[in-house]
Amino acid sequence: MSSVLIRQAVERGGSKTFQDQQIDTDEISIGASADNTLMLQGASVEQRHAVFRISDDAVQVRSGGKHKLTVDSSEVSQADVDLGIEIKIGPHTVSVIRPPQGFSLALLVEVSDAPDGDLEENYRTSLLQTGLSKRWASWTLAAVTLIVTLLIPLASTYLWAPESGEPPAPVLSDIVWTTGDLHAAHQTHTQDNCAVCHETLFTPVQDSACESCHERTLDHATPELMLAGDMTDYRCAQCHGEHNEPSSWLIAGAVERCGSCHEFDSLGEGHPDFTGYPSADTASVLFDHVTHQGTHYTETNHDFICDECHQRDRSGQFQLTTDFESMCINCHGDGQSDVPSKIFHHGDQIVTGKHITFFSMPRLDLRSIPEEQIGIWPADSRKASRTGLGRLDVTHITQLLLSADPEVAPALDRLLGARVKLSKLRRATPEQMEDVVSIVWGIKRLLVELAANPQKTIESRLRRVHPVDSPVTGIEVIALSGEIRAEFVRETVNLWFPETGVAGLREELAARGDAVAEDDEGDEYRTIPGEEWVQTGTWDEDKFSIRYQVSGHADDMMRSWLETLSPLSLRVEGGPENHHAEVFEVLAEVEKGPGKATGPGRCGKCHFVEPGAELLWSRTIDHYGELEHTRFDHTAHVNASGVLECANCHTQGEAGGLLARLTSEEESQSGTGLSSFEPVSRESCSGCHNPAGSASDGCLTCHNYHVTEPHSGILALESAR
Amino acid sequence: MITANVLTFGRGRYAWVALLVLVISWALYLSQSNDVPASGGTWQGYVLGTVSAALIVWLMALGIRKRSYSAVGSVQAWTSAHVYLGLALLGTASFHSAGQLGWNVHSAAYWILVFVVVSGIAGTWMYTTLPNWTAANRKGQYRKELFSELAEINKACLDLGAECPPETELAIRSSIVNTSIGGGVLDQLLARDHSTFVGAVDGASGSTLVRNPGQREILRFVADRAPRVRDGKEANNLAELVSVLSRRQELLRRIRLDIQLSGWLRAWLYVHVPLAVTLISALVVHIITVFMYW
Repeated sequence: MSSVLIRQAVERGGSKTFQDQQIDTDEISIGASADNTLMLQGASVEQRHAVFRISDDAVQVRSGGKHKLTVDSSEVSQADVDLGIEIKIGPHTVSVIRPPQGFSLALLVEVSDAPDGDLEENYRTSLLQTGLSKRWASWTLAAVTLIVTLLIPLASTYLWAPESGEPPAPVLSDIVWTTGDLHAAHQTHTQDNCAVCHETLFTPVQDSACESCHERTLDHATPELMLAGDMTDYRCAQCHGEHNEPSSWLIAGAVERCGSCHEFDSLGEGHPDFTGYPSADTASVLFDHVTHQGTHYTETNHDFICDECHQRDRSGQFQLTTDFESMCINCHGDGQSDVPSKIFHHGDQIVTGKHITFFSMPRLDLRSIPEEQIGIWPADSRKASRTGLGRLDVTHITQLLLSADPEVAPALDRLLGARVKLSKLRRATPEQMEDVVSIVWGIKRLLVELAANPQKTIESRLRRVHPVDSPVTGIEVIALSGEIRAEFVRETVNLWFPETGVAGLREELAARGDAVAEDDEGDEYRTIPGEEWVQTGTWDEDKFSIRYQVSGHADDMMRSWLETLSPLSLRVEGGPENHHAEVFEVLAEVEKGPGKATGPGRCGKCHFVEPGAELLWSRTIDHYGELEHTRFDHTAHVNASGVLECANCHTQGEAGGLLARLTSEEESQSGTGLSSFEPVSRESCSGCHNPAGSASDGCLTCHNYHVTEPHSGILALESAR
Repeated sequence: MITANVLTFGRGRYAWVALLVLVISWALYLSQSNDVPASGGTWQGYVLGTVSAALIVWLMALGIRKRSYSAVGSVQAWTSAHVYLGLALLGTASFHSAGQLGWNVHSAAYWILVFVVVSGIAGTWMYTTLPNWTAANRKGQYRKELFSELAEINKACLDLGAECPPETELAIRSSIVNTSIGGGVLDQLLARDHSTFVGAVDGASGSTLVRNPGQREILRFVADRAPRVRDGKEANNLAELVSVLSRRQELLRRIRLDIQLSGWLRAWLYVHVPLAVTLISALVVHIITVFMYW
């Protein structure tokens, strides 16, 4: 069935005109585009504004696009078309009127040529008409922020956290609350799991979190001192901040923080002077800087360069003194081996090495002593060397070894007390002659024992006179013996006693009832363990003497004898004979004072070889500053700046010359060997290390904090309270 | 003039207050120890953070003051202080953050704050500039008067169009009915013109909907017809029509500019206000989380 469209227009003058149009299709469209059944103009007329669909039993109208239709003042997408409804299409109105006979639908279209009334009302001319809403946007954005940055991370961390303990996905986790990157080491450990450190919400990070890894961290001071310093809030995080920029920064070393206990303002103001730096015990070798620089180096046309002898260690902290073999030997050597030949200045004479007379047959006054009392004795022993003899005309070492023989010791002390010499016995009393006889047999026993097993003899005799339980180790026994061979001793004794030899002496002693050792134990008495070794010299026989030729610098026999004897070598005025001291004094020539020793080995010329003292051959650095309160990086100061020279800081005192030398004569005599360098002045540091200077004056620039006993934490502090 | 009053209110007394706040904040920032990197976690950082938070809350109070008629101080004074202290806030918050920014809620709060202040700066510029442009554009007229004038011109065009052949009459009538003014957000802010008219152009047969931005096409349509008419009356009619359409074209340009300027005068607030409220939310999260993971 057909429909009719009635178009009503208002002419000028107000009269209305009507145009009818019959439509036979079952769809009628009205809109702005030309392909519609009816084309209407207007800014608010859509291209295909309204579409009427006619079926057998009903008529419907719907929007031809996404816009809404205004049907009887309500906004709809579609509607049933009933008689009398009005549809607004822009400024135009479509009314459904009763259709004429034969038509199923009649639409009256009132066409409006121009908008009536206030023209502006036909347009949207303000943002207020656009649906924008500040309020809606505000609440939405604020809510989204709260949900995304607080509620979801909270829930994902504490409600939905995986039971495996793994951190939740980064976007949703509490990692969005981080205030900055972690130190790389901490990041590796925590793996974005905040709870590793932040154990309890709204509670500052506790030490327990740090100590789960840093369990061996040292403390700064005892709990008592920390308490006295009012460090009541005493947590790691007080000084160690995290989430910093740069993330590598972890320590607060502010002066004001340290200043709460150490009451001074800065390095420049109030900081104590460096009275002990370099410390008084730094010198281990007696080295006269002044004469070496001013005389020896000049004469030999060498530059005196500090770091030739004081080479920086790998830490950069210490300028270690190089060893004899690397440096001193260049002048104080024979040019071929490490034998310190030129060191042996003896007056103007340069002596190329010296012997130690280990044993010497006494030049016995045979005319004054009946032969039957002493048995066999070499007649030509009067020709024996006089070198290295003690008061009794035997060597000091022989004297010490004889003192270990209980039958001889009293006689030895009596004769020494009476100043009797074995080579001059004419005035000896009969009692003294008995003592002499006793000593002669003691010497024979000693020789037989040495020929049987020299190492065992030396060890057992030293043990007997040594009050310490175990004065020597196996390797020290070998060192003390200078690796002398039993065979050498036997041959020597056989040489001295050509008619009887060692066997004859043993028989003689056996006939007297003396039990002497068999020579079946040989040289295997002590063996050198593992990879250890000793450096010893050579032995020879000369004019009824057994001599030891020092091997060179750091000869182990010399070192071992000095170290073994030193603790027992302090003389007591008016006290008993001290045979240890006699040997020690001869080996070290201590009576000549430090730096002047000319005795065998010449150790005391450069080293502090003092009776009773622990012998420090060289200064060793046990650690590299982490346990020291103060550290100093030579590399950073000398190399990096390129302007500092050693003498800028290490200056010689008023008494001294250019750089340094041994201290005053009195101090030299005392052997303390104090460094003659002035303490480094504080001003030489604070010139750069000051608040306005090029270098930091923070306490931690030079000082370590964790230097005392293991960290004891708050509990210890509380208990101290 | 509003512009002078907001920025120069009380001889810029709030500018001096803001400057003082900035100088003190700067000094606090610099007083942080060399041994500790500056951050929001030092005591100076806490002070700067507290000051910044207090400023944010106070600045938000302008929204309440605007709606209140019994509060202390004039809205003008409040607005002047709001502008200058808002600028100072950018300094205090930056000193508080110490430039330590990253991908986290704290930096998010900072960047939201920056956007709020920047949108505020844009708004202040608009408040001090656009009203002058609007006045110059309106030439002493109210917008209502501009539209009344448009209505009169529309009627004159229709009357002249009625004397023309149907094709021209349809084009004139449709160009008036299909004139687009304002519209959606972007249409208003960018002064976009979706006007059309029904007519044939460039010798095309039949009528189609022709785009008519700036009313240029309808003018060309009418002008093209003028040389072809022989009837003197019709020629006069067309000439007058071109003249009236030209006046209409100019008037429409002014109306669109007026709507555009009014739009921008409001538009920045649609950024400034929601972001400011969001900032409060972000600030709360910032403070809670900082102390939650102390």
